[in-house]
Amino acid sequence: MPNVRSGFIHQGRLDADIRRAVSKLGPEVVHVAYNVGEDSTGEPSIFFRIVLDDAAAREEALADTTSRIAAALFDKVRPIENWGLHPYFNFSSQSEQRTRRDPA
Amino acid sequence: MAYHDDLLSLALSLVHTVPATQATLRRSVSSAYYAVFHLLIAEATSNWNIAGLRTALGRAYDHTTMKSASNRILDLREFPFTGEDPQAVASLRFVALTFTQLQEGRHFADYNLTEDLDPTDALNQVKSAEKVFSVWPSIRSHQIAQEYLVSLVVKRR
Repeated sequence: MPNVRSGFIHQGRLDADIRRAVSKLGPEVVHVAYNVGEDSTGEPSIFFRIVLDDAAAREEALADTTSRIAAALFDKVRPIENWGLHPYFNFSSQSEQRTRRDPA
Repeated sequence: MAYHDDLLSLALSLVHTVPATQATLRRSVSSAYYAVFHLLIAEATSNWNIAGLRTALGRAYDHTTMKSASNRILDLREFPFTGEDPQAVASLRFVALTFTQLQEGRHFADYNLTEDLDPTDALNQVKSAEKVFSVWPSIRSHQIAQEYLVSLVVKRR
């Protein structure tokens, strides 16, 4: 059970909320992971790491795609109101993830 | 061009540098954050009548207060924005959320070398900053946007 400054987080409920929200995201989202901790100013935070398929990570559409995904997770999970956590969203592409796993 | 416009151009140029290095990617994110930081300050201080004093007034803004103000308007309990134009509210929340993301991204880019900064992540942060520049003119005349600008300089007591 993660312990952040505001108290304890019920991991099971948070997981369930996030799973529900992720299931509503589009097919361009390949994977979503998260962890709870403190940000650079010590605020309790949730860090989403989102892998996009390569087509969705193209520059022309990137900012619109990521802001839509972040807004969807923000609206459905309500991390501030329901969990006292400030959300951060980091995006990578599927091909970058493959490169990371296979440095050769 | 204004300083914040130059910073955004620099961020875009850095993030497109070939070959990309951790230095170019990280400096692009840092420049993107400062582009938005100075855009918001310039917008706020532009309300001051005496143009020659605006840059001096801009020195009153600090990162922590701006982040706290941006976090606050993301909280629906504190700022439900009932009766406001939903598109303007969504745009303002995008600006506030992007500001906090960029500030954290800048901190990672400048100090945290424990893992690489992904090119897609860097590009997304720069493109999100660019989107703030394109969205802001559509909401700058709204009362809620002007109240946000004021909140960026007011410490909560």
